[in-house]
Amino acid sequence: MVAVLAVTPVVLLTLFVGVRGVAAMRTTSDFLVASRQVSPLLNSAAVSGEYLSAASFLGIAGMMVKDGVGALWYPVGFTAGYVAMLVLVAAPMRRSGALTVPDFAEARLSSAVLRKLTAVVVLLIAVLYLVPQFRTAGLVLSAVGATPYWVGVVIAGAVISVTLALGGMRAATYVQAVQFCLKLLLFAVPAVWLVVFSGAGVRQQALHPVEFDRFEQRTRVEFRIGVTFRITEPTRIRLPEGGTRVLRPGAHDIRAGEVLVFPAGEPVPRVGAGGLPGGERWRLPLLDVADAGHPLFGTWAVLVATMFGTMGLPHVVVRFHTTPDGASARRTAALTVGLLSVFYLFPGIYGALGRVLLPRLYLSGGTDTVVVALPARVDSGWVGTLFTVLLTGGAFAAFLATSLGLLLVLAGALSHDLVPGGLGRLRGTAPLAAGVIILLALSAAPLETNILVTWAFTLAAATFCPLLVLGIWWWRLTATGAISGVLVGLLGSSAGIVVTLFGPELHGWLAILLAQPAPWSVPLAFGAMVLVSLRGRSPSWARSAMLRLHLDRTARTESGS
Amino acid sequence: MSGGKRVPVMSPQTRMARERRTSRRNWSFPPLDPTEHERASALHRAQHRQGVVTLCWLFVLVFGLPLLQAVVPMPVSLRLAGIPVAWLVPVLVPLPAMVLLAWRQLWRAERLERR
Repeated sequence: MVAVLAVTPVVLLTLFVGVRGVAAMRTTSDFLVASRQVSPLLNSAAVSGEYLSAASFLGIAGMMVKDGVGALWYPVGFTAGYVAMLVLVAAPMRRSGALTVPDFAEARLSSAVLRKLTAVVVLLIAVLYLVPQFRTAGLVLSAVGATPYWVGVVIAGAVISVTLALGGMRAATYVQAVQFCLKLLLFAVPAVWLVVFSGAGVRQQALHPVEFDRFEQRTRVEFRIGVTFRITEPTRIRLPEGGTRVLRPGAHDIRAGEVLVFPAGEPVPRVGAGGLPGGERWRLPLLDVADAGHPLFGTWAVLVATMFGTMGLPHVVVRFHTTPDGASARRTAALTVGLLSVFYLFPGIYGALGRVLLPRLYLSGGTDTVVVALPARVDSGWVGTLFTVLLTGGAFAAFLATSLGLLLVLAGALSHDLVPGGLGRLRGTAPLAAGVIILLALSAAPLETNILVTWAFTLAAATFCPLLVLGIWWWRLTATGAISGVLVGLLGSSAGIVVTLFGPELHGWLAILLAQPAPWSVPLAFGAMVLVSLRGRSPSWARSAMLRLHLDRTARTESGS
Repeated sequence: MSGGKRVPVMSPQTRMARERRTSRRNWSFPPLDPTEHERASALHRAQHRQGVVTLCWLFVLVFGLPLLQAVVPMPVSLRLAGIPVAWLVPVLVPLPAMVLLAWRQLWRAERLERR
């Protein structure tokens, strides 16, 4: 019921604004002309609206409950990415007239092979970014509506496909801009309400954390997804059907759907190798990636991946095209930094309160649902339900905006760059792709959102970031150099993450370098591009192809392409 | 209502996906004329220099703050309005600083193009 109440208005609003936007634009003969009048402020709201995904709306607070205060560095990396984009990419990319990275690759280096290769990377990034969005939607709907995980995933996939089919993305700028305001409102207002109404006791506990090592009260934990936890001393549990069982020390696999009740005073099992919420390591404002014991390096690694990755995310690059020229693309990037900064003031509040009120989510692997689960813990009446509805709606808006953009990028890369076909095929590709993503998301339930998002960002950082930066600023870049760099970045980062996901358990430096490959794969990709390019010869027109991107106005191109 | 040709209205993404099907655009641009070439070279150099300065500040900020927190850990007892200062640092220092940095870069980049 809550799910229906939350999802329906968001979808309807999206469609309504989309249709209204189209109607508003019919007065001009061409949408392009209309979009050239889009102000940088409206456009930056649209960029932020597309960028704030389920990972931002729910993921950061969830990571904070599980991994500690260090999770607050993720937003810093996300925002820093836009500063780097402002400096390096925004204006020249807009002037190139290219809409996507494959387009840019062909425009700057005129290589069909590079175009196909970058299209494959777009495909990979889009899938890796979409799967966690769908997974989170499944988890959230199951948390608020008590439905199985798959129901949420399928509903999410269906809603995306229907919205796309009905043309909800037609007036994309307005939809995204409205969604940004919606998300900010639906995130900020409940945060303030939670702080005020959670009570002095909870606030005190949130700011003076103690380690969650024993259950303070009888705690019922529902495992919506399968989890493995370790216990170090015999632990009593009550079974829901009655009776008591004692779990022996060691590792225990809990299947999805099981319910365990821990009596007060029992020790809290550990999930993964990290510390318990509220402990010494939780309080440290750094990220101990892979629990390798090198928090400073872990934090840097995450910052490198998120910052450089943001520059190459395919659905973000597309959005800069709605600006009239290079200068307003730059203004859009600058304003986006401001809008994101406002939004990112709030995830920490949810994280800090969630650790006090919902520490059991740490155990059930459902920390991504902490944001939507909080209001019910603060108020069990209709006010709590109202805020649950608001937050679920906001989360769904986040999920919808990002997924729609990604699905279109994915469909474009598939049906044009890889297997050229007609419009019919493009129309058919989107629902088909959504179907594949649903299947992947169904089997991805036990994977951490974090790992997949990291993978997507690292891929973008190690392939598109060097391609764009060198393509824009270094005229000697050759097509062969770009291809080698993209391949090195693609294989290097993917190898690291595949080993982390499916390989043996690793410790120390090796674990951190494989779980967060960006610190070595990004320099490696840059290095490969530079070295291979220097060994070859760039064509005679290379210099003017690059310089053209920096020319702010010309007599011929004043009217644009 | 303006007279002109009626064109289907759609988002940039949709338009892109539809257009790319038909137009295998040839990207060979006409060469830059000498004055354009000169201006573009000058802008490239100037923006490059300005960009490096901003990126240096960004890296110092983004990578320096975690370093600072690792080398000089702040005691949990150090609080501002009851909140541990160590927790406020990743939020209240880099975000406003980056907003200022972005504005400074924007202003300087636009000034270079006004010349």
